[in-house]
Amino acid sequence: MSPLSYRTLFIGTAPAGLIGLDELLRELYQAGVTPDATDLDDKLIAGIKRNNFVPRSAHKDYALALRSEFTTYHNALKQGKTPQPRNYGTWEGHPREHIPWFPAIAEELCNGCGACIEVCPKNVFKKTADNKVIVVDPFDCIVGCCFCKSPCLPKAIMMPDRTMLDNYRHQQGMR
Amino acid sequence: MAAKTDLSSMLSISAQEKQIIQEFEQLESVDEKYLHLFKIADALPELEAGLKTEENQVKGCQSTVWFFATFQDGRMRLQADSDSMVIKAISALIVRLVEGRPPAEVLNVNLNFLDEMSIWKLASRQNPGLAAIIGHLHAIARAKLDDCSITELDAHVTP
Repeated sequence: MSPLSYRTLFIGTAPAGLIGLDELLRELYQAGVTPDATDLDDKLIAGIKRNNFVPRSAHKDYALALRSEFTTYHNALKQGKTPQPRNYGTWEGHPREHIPWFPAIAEELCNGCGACIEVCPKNVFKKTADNKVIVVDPFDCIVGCCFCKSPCLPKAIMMPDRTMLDNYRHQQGMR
Repeated sequence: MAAKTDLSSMLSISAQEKQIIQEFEQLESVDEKYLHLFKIADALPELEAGLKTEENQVKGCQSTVWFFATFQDGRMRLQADSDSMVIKAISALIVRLVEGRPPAEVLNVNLNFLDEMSIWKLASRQNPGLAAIIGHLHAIARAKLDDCSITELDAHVTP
């Protein structure tokens, strides 16, 4: 039996590693579920809960993120495309998506100035209609870089500590 | 003891900036440029723990960055470190630019050359973190200049 897929999604403003998401999307599509189904949120939450812990208080945020994923997946198949998780390449020989290095934004601190968008060469950030900045492509973030913090006056951007990478290298016997 | 700076072979600040810009121009992608930045950061010796003091820390940069300067024969010897790889790399480039220069010359150093490296869209002068770094460096140079002026003044009044 092949292992279940593993992907990280942003749930609300925090990243969460999800097991079996790709299998769930395929299962719902094959069962004829469509993005406008009234019980889609319930099906997605129930399905993802089979392999992941989803706190009740976070159901709404999970449903929003999962619905967006399912809609993208469904529309791609309807257009005759094969939905493929994006290939983010590798970092020191390991799949980029296995490395939890990306920014997180404290929504209550962000003043929407957009300096981080200007400074990031990888388009990791995007401005929302209500003038807030969100992380849209976490795995495009260059591992080891936290330069986006430098122009952020309200200190709204949080990045992992560099020691996390050193620990990862150590555990993987990379150095 | 550090070797004396050979002044005759020392490039001007703008010539050194051009060298740095050319170094990065040769690299095509942003990823390659970042890899080079990380190598530059890795090559900068770590500042010893006792020098990572409040006084040596740049205020106003969201990353933690320290500069420790000494002066030999009126010329700056600079050490730097940061918890951010990119800031550490930029600090290493600053070290390259100011090492062995008199404080009056250090006051002419700015970070405009970073804008020509084609990595970031935001101009360095609009980046408060970078402005804080260059402000800190200028403050060190200015303090040394003031110090020298006072010493010279003292020399004149001493019988």
